[in-house]
Amino acid sequence: MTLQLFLQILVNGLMIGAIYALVASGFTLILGVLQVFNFAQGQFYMLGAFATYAVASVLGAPYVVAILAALAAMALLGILVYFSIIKWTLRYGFFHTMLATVAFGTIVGQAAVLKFGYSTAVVAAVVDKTLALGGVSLNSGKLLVLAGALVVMGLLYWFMRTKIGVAMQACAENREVACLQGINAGKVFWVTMAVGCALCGVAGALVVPVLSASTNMGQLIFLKAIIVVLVGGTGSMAGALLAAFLVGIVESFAFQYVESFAPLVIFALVAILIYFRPGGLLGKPLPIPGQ
Amino acid sequence: MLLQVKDLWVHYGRAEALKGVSIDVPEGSIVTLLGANGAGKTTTLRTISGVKRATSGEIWFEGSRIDSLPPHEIVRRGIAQVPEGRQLFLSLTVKQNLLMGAFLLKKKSEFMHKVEEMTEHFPNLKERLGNRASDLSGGEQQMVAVARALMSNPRVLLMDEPSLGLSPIMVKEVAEIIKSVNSMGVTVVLVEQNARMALRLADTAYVLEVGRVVLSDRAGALAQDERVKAAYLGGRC
Amino acid sequence: MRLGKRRLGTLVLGVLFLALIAGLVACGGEKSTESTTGTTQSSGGAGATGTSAAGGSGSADEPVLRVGALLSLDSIQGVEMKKWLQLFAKLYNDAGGWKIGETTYRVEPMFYDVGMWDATKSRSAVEKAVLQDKVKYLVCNWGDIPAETLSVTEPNKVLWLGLDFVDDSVKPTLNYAVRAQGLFFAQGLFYYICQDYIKQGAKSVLVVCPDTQQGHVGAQLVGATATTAGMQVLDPIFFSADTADFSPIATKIASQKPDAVFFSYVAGASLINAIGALKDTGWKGFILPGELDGETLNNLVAKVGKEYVEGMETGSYDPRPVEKDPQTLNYIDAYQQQYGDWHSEGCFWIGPWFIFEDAINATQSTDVDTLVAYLTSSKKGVRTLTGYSQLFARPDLQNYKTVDSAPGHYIGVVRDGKFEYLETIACKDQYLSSIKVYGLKDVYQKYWDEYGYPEFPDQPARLDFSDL
Ligand SMILES: Nc1ncnc2c1ncn2[C@@H]1O[C@H](COP(=O)(O)OP(=O)(O)OP(=O)(O)O)[C@@H](O)[C@H]1O
Ligand SMILES: [Mg+2]
Repeated sequence: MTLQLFLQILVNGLMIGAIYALVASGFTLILGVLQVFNFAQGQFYMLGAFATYAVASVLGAPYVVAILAALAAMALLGILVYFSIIKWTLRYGFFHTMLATVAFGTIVGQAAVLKFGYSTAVVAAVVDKTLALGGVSLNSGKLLVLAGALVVMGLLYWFMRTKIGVAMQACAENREVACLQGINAGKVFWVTMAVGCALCGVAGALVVPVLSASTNMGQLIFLKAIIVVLVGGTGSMAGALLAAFLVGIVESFAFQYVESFAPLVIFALVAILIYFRPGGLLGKPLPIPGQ
Repeated sequence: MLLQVKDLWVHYGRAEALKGVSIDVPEGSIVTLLGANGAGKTTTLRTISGVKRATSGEIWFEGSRIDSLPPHEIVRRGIAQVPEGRQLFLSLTVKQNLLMGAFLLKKKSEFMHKVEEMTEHFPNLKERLGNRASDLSGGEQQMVAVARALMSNPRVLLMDEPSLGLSPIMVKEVAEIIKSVNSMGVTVVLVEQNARMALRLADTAYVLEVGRVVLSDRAGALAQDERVKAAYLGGRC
Repeated sequence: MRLGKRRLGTLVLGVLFLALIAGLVACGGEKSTESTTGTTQSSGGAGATGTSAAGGSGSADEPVLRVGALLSLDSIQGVEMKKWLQLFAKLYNDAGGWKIGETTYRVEPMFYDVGMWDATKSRSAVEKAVLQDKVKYLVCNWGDIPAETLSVTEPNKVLWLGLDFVDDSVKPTLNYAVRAQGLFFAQGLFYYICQDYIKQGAKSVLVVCPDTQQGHVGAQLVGATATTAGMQVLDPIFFSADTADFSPIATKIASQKPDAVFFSYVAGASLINAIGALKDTGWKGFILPGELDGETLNNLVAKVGKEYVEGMETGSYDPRPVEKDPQTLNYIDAYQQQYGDWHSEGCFWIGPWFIFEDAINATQSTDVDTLVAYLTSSKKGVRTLTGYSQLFARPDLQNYKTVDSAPGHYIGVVRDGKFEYLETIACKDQYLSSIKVYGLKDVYQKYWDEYGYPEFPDQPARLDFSDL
């Protein structure tokens, strides 16, 4: 394997890993804090991509504006979903909220199919150049996705250290005791939904100049996000980030050798990992449904 | 009366945990709730704090009814709780735990001021602020738990078995802490299995048995009560 | 009261939210008129759904011709085929019915969802159609598993006109099955594109397919075609069907350094992402994208730029820029009037309807045995929406009845980001190039010597029997 090929595969893995990281950390945040298994998580990614398409390609706004628009739109939608769906089902327990998100995700998916059909939305590449580093050429569009994702992760890191961010962690760890501190759980919940969904929206916005948007992209990424969360450990943000890059890179290298068996390699590795560490790399075992 | 519980009935599913409990907490006093395992002491405190809802009965605080308020509103009015088994946020640092206790404080300067006050009060915590709560010893954790509850400037502090799992020396220290907290003007409701210590500290005491108040009196008087002696003071330290 | 107010507020929010979704759906519907919302996904649910809402003024004693279709309503092709069949039925019914022999029938299309190559759904769908609804003709089957459905249609003497990617439906033991839209005699497209690319200097080719049954069959066929045309065929690359990021695949393709890359069964977003990723690796060469509709091409050009796909040749199912046949133009107009916009995804696959229609009109009969006798001794091509389609025998399978079709196809080339029509592949070219690719000349020669050479529709063709 030449250095060029190695680096290209690595960058592929890093880029898709960064996208997995954003979607999975949004998912794990909501799972940890609200204890809601959000089946609609992938749809926010898909909607984020289409929102970016609408703002950047249809309205012709600058790409950065489109990213912010996708972020804001998905955060708002997340809040709306919380108040209209999650809040009412939360009191009935884990499986009810899960089913409610399944229903919501299906509605969004079907509505998107009706609206956009089976077509694809394409946003022109933001930087359409290759970066040449001493004889090794790398696609700068992918590097931009990676850079964007790292910025978002940095912002997330900062956010999780603000008062409301710490309150989210406190709620995730012990909801009742958090309430005893005067934390308004309802407020923490909707903020969490906003942040978790915005993360997916940003992921969709970042990826769309490299991968075009399609109405089924949400379901595909959702499966990967779950694998990432399993590997990283449920409710663990650091675990999700670590696992996302791991899965991305393993997937990328595995394809070079075993092609379509790459997903099988991932699943086999996940099975082995879960056998020895049921809680994943950095997490606790799955939250008990109904608790 | 600062805090008043009137004929409180509480259920877990169909099981009755409290069957008409009434408690009066005068301002500035230390009131203790005694009772065996499962008597309903924790349930009483959880219901006062609003994290468990009563089936019937009333809770009054400073002249207004609080039994249908959400927990954060009750904290805002001035009732803080040190939960059973300390229950710190173990993944957070000590300072972040204190930040959570001060969640309702609006200004950052207020928070910093309170942190300083607490480190004066509990000097051990000073160099522990950046540590994870999980790295602390049981005694230190209990101090953080009390400090965390005091961060919101409460008028009433509900303490659920603060001596649980501590060495005899630490138990003495906790008793000192309770005394000094009370001397700062904070009313204390103390739930204890360690009846000897509780009765020494408290002004009034209630004895709960399977969800009912079976005895209540001034603490000094109860300490002499034969039944109490037999059931709660015998053989204990 | 306080609580009640808050709950009301949230309820209003919830209703607003549902309204938002409804609005979104309505916008989608607006674009493609009421019928899309009515037809697209509405007949979901497991198993079969029969639709009997045709015509409207049907009294009980009016004779009804029930035409069944086993369709994958999860796919755009299935949905589009349903729209076409509804349109054809409507055209007959609006004109007073379909006169066959002495009787005039109201046409009633019946649709059964078979999922996507799902044996269980196929089975329950065909059982509902045949045993419960007593459908005698299943035309335009798409997405069923023929081995499964034929086990029900054959003993019940039900005519099956469908598609399959293996040879289950063209076995000599079957009596009522005709593969009216097959891809066996369909190697003309790839064969000619290979020839064109070789002329321009391509020597080696890499075939890229999803890791599905069709993908593997496709890879084999495309590989064989390219070999016959004279290209060096590298080991094909298979990728998992749910791939979203094609970067690893493109990196692997580029590392093999082929002159040409052929995508088989890669369409829509996947195709755009795949070609986009290929461009990112810096690879440049000949691309054959299989089928490409206009919208996908526009998106592709937006993604990778005009230069990257200049000179790319591809098949097309869209008859609009090409067709001059007045009857076909009428159908295109009717479709656009009925549905408001245009989708070409169903045009190719709806071919069996025309073969069915031709058989009924030629025999003036609705008797299944009569229709089968006509179809299995077919002598001529039938016009479909995408050119002529013709049934041929399969002597290589010892099946001497005409049961397998050579479908029509268009070839085009991309110039300056636009699709330019090159030519229509004649039935004759489809037939002969396929025989050549499969190396079956000797078997077919024996068959022709005994039964005579087939006749073809009057179209210009590149190949003749002497070229084999
Ligand atoms: N979450 C719960 N679900 C169901 N039953 C509960 C729950 N919490 C407490 N109970 C029951 O309610 C009764 C009172 O419990 P509570 O915890 O208030 O007692 P306690 O006096 O605090 O006991 P301990 O000294 O053990 O802390 C017990 O019978 C207990 O089993
Ligand atoms: Mg207790």
